[in-house]
Amino acid sequence: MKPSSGSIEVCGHDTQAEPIEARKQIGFLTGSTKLYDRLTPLEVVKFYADVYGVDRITFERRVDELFTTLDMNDFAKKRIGKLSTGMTQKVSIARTMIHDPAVVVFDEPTNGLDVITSRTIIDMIRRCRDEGKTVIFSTHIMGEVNLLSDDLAIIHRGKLCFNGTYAAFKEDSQSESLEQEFIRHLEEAA
Amino acid sequence: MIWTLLKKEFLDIARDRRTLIMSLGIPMLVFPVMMIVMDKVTASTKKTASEKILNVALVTHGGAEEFRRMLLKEGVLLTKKGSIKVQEDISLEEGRRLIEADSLDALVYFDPEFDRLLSARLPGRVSVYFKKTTDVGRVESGRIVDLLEDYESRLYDRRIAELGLDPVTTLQPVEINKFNLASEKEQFASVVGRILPYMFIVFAIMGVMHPATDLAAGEKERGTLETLFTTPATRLQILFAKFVVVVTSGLMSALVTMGSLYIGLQFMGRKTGQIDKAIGSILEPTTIIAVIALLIPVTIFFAAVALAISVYAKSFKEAQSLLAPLMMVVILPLAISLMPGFALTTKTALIPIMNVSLSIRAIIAGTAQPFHLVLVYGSLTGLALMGLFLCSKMFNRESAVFRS
Repeated sequence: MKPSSGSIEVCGHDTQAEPIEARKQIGFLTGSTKLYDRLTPLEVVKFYADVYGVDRITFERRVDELFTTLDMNDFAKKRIGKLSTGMTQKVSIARTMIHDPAVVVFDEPTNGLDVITSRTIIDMIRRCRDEGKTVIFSTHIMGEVNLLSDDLAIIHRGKLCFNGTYAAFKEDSQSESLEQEFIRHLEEAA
Repeated sequence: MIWTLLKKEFLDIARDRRTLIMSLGIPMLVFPVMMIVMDKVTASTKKTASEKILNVALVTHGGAEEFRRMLLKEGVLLTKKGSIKVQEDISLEEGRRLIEADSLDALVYFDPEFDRLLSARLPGRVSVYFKKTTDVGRVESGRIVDLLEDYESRLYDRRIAELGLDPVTTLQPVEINKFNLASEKEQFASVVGRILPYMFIVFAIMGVMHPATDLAAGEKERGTLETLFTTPATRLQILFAKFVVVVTSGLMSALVTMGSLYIGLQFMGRKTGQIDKAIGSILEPTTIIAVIALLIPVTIFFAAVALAISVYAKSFKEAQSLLAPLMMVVILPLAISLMPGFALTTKTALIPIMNVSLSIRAIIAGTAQPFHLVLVYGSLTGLALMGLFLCSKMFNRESAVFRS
């Protein structure tokens, strides 16, 4: 895709000039980045580790960490096609994180998941933030915003309605709850 | 990177049951099953037709006594081909009605003037009525006609002898001796060599179509291609890995077909004992290598075209329906190459697919000329490269890959 204007730099690499270098630094997960049903979680994560050029020793350490944190060891060798939505999402997260990217993009990672799985994933993302990674996180769940945000942007129908720190957003708040404040911003922009 | 991608593609496709059945299972079974079934069916049809007791009506008007005796008593042919039950008190009209109603197998009707015409050295007229709708019917009516022809040749010999001539030499002013100097290999090639290339090519396409559909359109539909595009793997690397898997599958399929043919021929050979030499000639290492060498570029071409179409398709189903006409496009030149009179020439060597079929036939027969093979190889390689170029163009076009 060619940008209509502007540019993006990831760890000093321009996404247009050095797309491969830029992509190496990114872990990208959306609802449409699916996994191979006919492979097992371990095979999929190994494959992506190889694609990103992770060496064997690092891979083994990372896989152990990720699978334990995400509680995935029970189904590591089952075919992905046979796993539940929550399990599959954990595998997706593991494959996004296997190469220890500096920037992670999570598009509604807890969509349709049960409370416990969501919690595990949110904890994981919070740890990414604490490790100093750049986390771009999109969600419709205000609770998650409260738990994770440093900076906040509200996009409605392709238009930026708010862009600032989460602290500033809360400080300027004129409503009782986050939801109401969110809707107020949308209405203001419209 | 390529190796990683290849490993993943192979693992993924090897776990797809449909691909395994289409690319390996069917080619493996096709020849043995075909030969066994054909053998059993022909044997059993022949048996039912020649063993069945035929109900035959005979109307002679008191003449043709010799034939009547042949049919009733002599039974030379009858013992060989099963028995015949003869019915004589019947009219022509009734007999015809019974045949139409399937309660009579045949009616032999001698003209009332038969004996008179015969003694005047004119042809006596006889009519045979039967119902020929199936192969069984053909064998049945054949038994009666054989008997009549046998009768005719007896009368014929007698007439010539009555003229004081020798029936064997008089009517053969020229003795034609035919010597077929074609080697067994060539004779075999003209028969089997027509159908074999057809089979190899068709199975190479079959082996290509399924993985091509699954690895491009299937991956798009399942959303796994998008994930792969977020990684440092380039489009060209991803495509290359898919391409190698698809080509391998096509070639495997053709190879398995060859193996299956060998097993099938072993089965047939044991029964007839004649094909052994022919099997030997087709399974000579040089023949096999030459055939595989021809199948490689043509499979590359199929793989490239199939992948390009599959990349363009929005879904697995759309890819399948778009690929079906490809099969027709391929079968047409193949079918033409099966027609008599087509051989490998400078001209036909340049017609894609047809040239493969004709070359394989020529190689099996041992009549292939190096110059023609170079032409075939050159044109196929060109075609394969064109297909590849088209395919990579398609894969690099965002609008084609993400059409949905």
